[in-house]
Amino acid sequence: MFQTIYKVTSPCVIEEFIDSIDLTKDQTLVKVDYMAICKADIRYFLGTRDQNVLNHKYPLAPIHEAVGHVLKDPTGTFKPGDKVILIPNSVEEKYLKDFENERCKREDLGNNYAIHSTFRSSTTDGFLKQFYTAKPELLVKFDKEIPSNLAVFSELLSVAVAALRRINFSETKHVAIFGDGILAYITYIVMRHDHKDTKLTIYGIDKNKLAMFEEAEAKTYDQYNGEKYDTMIEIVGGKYSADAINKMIDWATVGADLILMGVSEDKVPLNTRLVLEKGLSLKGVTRSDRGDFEHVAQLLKDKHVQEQIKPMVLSENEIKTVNDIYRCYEQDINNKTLIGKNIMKW
Amino acid sequence: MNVALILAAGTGSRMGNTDKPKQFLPIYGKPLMVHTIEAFEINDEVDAIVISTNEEYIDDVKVMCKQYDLSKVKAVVAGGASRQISVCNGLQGVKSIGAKDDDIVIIHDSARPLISQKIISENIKVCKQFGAVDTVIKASDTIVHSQDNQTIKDIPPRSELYQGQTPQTFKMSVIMKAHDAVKGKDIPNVTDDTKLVLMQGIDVHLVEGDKLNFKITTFDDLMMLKALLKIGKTEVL
Repeated sequence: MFQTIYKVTSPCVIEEFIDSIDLTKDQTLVKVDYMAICKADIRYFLGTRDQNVLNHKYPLAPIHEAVGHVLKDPTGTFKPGDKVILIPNSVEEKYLKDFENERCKREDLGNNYAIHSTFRSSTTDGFLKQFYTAKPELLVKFDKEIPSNLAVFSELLSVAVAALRRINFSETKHVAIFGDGILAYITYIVMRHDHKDTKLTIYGIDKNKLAMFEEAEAKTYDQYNGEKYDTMIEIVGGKYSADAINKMIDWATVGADLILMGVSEDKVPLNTRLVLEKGLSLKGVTRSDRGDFEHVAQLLKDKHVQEQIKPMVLSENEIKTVNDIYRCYEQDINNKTLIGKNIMKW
Repeated sequence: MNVALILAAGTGSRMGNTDKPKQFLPIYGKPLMVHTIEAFEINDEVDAIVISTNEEYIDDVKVMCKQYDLSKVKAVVAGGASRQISVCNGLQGVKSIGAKDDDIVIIHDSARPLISQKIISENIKVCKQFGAVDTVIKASDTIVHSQDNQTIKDIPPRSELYQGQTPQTFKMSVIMKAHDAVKGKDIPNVTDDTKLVLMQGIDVHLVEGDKLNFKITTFDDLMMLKALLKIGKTEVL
């Protein structure tokens, strides 16, 4: 059958394309129910990446945060009606044998970091379409009782899970998260659920946003009292990355781990002298693996976690025409004050 | 129960030099009509599908349903020389699978493969409320009325004009009554079921269609469909 797929063709332009769906025997057919726009989607939409990069990307269907339900599964892995999270990243087995990818086998890393791995809405078309076919290993079932409008945050939650995998909690006493945006809030939710006994402090600039971090010490940077942290997570990104990471270097204990999650288009100048003096470790984290999604499917069963996610659903928007998609982008782009997303549904 | 009745009994006489009716022509590896049927197959609200096709192709269609795992297809019936007869026979097929008066039948041309899920769902929703629905798009060009093919008789106001598409969706009781009333009669100028229902004095409500939901009637239409698909296949690095 045919369906309409929406692609960004140039900055601020989304066009309709006709796509043919082929139902093959080794793939599962999914009806996409809910989708959310990521910051990366916004960068492609606004064209705020390097022109050379953009030239290679367009036309590109956005969206890598999505959930749906199974319509058909010739592989027998799922039953019709099963709710599933769509995994956006994959890598072909053959590439994992490369020397460059050897370390992907490490538990704290994973295949996501493999050279030649693909990622929806970045290196290949995303999920902005009603129907999607995929091999069953690219889908993770979640409990039917979990509302899909909350499960649409699964990809973000999985990234937080992946970040926390980089931390050795048996040696960690006090974690500080730098950032008060949506990924910081999501990381806080996962952290409180999985490591509730570890002391947690959040640093940000917006007092209203910081008020959402109810189960942790949350304060603005100017409230810093000289305390040192053995593990810090940077989720600031952009032009404020340098300031945040350099604060982390200053406020780190000797031998601390610094987890970097914020994306910056520009190179970030760092106080490497102090990194050397303190023997700090900087670990980059981006995206997640299937195991992280499976963890999220369990995490979402927790009613308290669901309650924490609910306020992030700023609005639900039914997509009937391309104009509805433009409206959602506009809402998310203009939202500077609230932690959450204007999610889309078909 | 919501049943899709797919009309696939056309001869494709306007498609040029082909040895098969248009609905059987392959598009990206599968017959055109399979693309259309799949749109109903995967719609959660559609419970069953009945296909009305040329008698000599009934076996081919049954094989096709198996090959493409079209599990909602519950009956394949012989169509007829006219659309009216094909629908009438199709409705008998719909009855044969147990459809009752209050059930809904969604009648769709197999040669409109770009039918969207939104249109199918909207047809069902509006039909549940009003009992009779036609899919239309607003007329974008001025439409002139001529009776002699040479001179214009009048120009109706464009704001009141729409172009009819399919699906046309009815409660079984409504469409059966309309067909029973004309059974065995040769009614001129009846190109669709809405006309028959209107002849019964029943209101037919409008559902907004889509320009993409065009009918593959001529060779040019087929080329247009293929061109649209080629653009959609643009790969990214």
